[in-house]
Amino acid sequence: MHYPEGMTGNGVVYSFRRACPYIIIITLFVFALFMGLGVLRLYSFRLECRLNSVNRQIDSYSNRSIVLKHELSTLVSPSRVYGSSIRDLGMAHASNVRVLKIEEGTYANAVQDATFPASSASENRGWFYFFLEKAMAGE
Amino acid sequence: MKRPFFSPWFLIFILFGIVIWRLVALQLFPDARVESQSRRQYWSRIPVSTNRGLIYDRNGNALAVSVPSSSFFIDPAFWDPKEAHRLNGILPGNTVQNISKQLSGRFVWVVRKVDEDTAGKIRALGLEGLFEVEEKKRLYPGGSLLAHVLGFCDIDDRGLAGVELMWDRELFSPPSVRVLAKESSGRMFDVTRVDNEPVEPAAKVGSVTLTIDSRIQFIIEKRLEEGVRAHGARWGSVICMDPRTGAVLSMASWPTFDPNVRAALKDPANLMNNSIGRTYEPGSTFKPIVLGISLERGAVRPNESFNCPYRIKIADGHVTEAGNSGFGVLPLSDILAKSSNTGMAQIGMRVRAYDMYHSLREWGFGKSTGIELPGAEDGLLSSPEQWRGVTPSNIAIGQGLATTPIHLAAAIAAIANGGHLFRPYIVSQVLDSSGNLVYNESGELVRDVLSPQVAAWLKKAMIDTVLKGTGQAAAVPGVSIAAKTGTAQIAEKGKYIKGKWVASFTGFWPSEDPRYVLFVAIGEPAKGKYYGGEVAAPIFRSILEDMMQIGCTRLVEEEERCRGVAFRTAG
Repeated sequence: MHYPEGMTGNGVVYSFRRACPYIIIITLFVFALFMGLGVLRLYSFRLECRLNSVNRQIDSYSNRSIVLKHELSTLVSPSRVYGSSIRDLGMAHASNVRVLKIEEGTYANAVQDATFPASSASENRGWFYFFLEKAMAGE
Repeated sequence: MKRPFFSPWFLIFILFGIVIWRLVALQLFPDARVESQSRRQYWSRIPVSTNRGLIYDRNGNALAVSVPSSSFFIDPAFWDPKEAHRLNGILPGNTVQNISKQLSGRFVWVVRKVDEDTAGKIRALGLEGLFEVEEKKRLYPGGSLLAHVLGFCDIDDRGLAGVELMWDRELFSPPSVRVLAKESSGRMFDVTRVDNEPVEPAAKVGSVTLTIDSRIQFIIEKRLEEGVRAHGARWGSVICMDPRTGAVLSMASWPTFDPNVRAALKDPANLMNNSIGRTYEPGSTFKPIVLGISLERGAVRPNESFNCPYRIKIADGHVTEAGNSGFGVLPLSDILAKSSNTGMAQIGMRVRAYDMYHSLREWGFGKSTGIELPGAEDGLLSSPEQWRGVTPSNIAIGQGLATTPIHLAAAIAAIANGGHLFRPYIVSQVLDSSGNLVYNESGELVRDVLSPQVAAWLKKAMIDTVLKGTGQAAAVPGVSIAAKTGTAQIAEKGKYIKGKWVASFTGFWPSEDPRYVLFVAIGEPAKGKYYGGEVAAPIFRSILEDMMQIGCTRLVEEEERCRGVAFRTAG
């Protein structure tokens, strides 16, 4: 039997042998692709874990912020301030509330007095503190 | 010999190929039923409540916040009912009893939104099949402060009353889904959020800012409770308004409740906001309005005088004075100061029924005030066709019609500010979850109901009420107050009940440039005193004194001037 050049035995086997390197290369290539995909998946999983961890941190800080806001609101609530001032500080309710009314003319005089030159203002302030110190000395 | 084209190995290869293909198909593209079954087995998706928007007062203090809290549920597949007794003393008896029997399904709530102490105790038991999940719990830091205005939410954080209900769309955040992975041992752990998006509570929730000043609110609630208890009253209401804009600075109602305590929400009487939902006959606090209408329509002149006997007969009925005798001849301003019923009855008869009706409607009576709260009543103002016989006179003395405290406060504010009727409002700003401004209010003029001259005349007459009339108990030295007392009988089934009264007092200060309108109503006082001047006026006075102590009575300009002087002197 005569075979064409380069062909030994069965033609199919011959062509399979010729295609074999390509199949191996393609298989390796596909394998490499799968490996790459796996690595990428693992990396994305790691990123997802980190993202999740960051999200949890954000949640945690947000929750802390809300709890602090709640605590602050509780601390500054008028009922607590009122209760503490009476119970802890011993403050008493003023029974003799009076209003001191300053007439318009008095305002004008006060403003005029306040526009004195700086030297006399500091002088006045000095006198004021002199009297203030004297007044407070007895306490 | 020629080899066969299809070798047996090729057949095996094809078979393997089919098996692998089927395997891939089953693993990667499973049937929907199989997928859901496996998900139920290994994953749990639990909807949990998220952050609800915050509610602030005018100074930025949080009045309602959602804080993290723990909830517990059972997966009956891993739960041993015999272990339930270990929760005795930590959870309520009926809850423990419920989980002591065999449960069906894969998910049963045990307890929701418990405090950290309780959660810690449950956690420490390490019970198999009992799982914890984090939720948000609505809390009101002020307790019962402003409870009727704020309202409350259900267990799933949906608003049920007050601002929580009215602005639920802006405040409510849809529940998020927690994905819990189940181990073979039954232990669960929170894997991630489904959407994988970071949650930023501050940016993802809406907010509502109220016009309420918490300090004034505390004062009026405290004084209202004292007053109600002192007089054994059934209910009470106080409203403080800024007459320049219609902003409600505080609104109190008694009896009250603490929205943090769910058991307190069972009694509907406690939940009623008397300031907007209680209709009653206003009595003499209504007289300034009728007098204003009469003056505007020219039915009476400011310098006119009326004979005010103890009793006068009008058509089919009588109108009598509240005291034991008549007043004789009184000038118009004294009719208001001394609160003469017979004098006002004569004035009321001078205005045509249709004119009076339309004027009262213009003042906002018998219709919604437009305040941004649910449960607000319109009041009752019958049509003029039904005003027969003595009815017009009764209306002139504040009987024969029904209003709510907020209607009256808004009307008195119109007298205080020179005749401008503003819509009362309690919400100044609302932001939605995206931070968009969806509501902004700074005062809405409804209409001018009085001329400045008539408003000034009424103001002076109301000052006289405090100086020499029925409201002397409210006088505070150094503060110019304009006010009016009111004592109204309560009608039931068409008849006035003997011994049932509503004592009220309303006024504003400083009268030269009013900044505050205060309305006080005490319902059904039962310890002897029932006149507005005896019951409500002292409460008004004590509130005003307290407000003075926190600096509420000083005018803004005065404060600025004082500050300016102080700085300059110091410099």
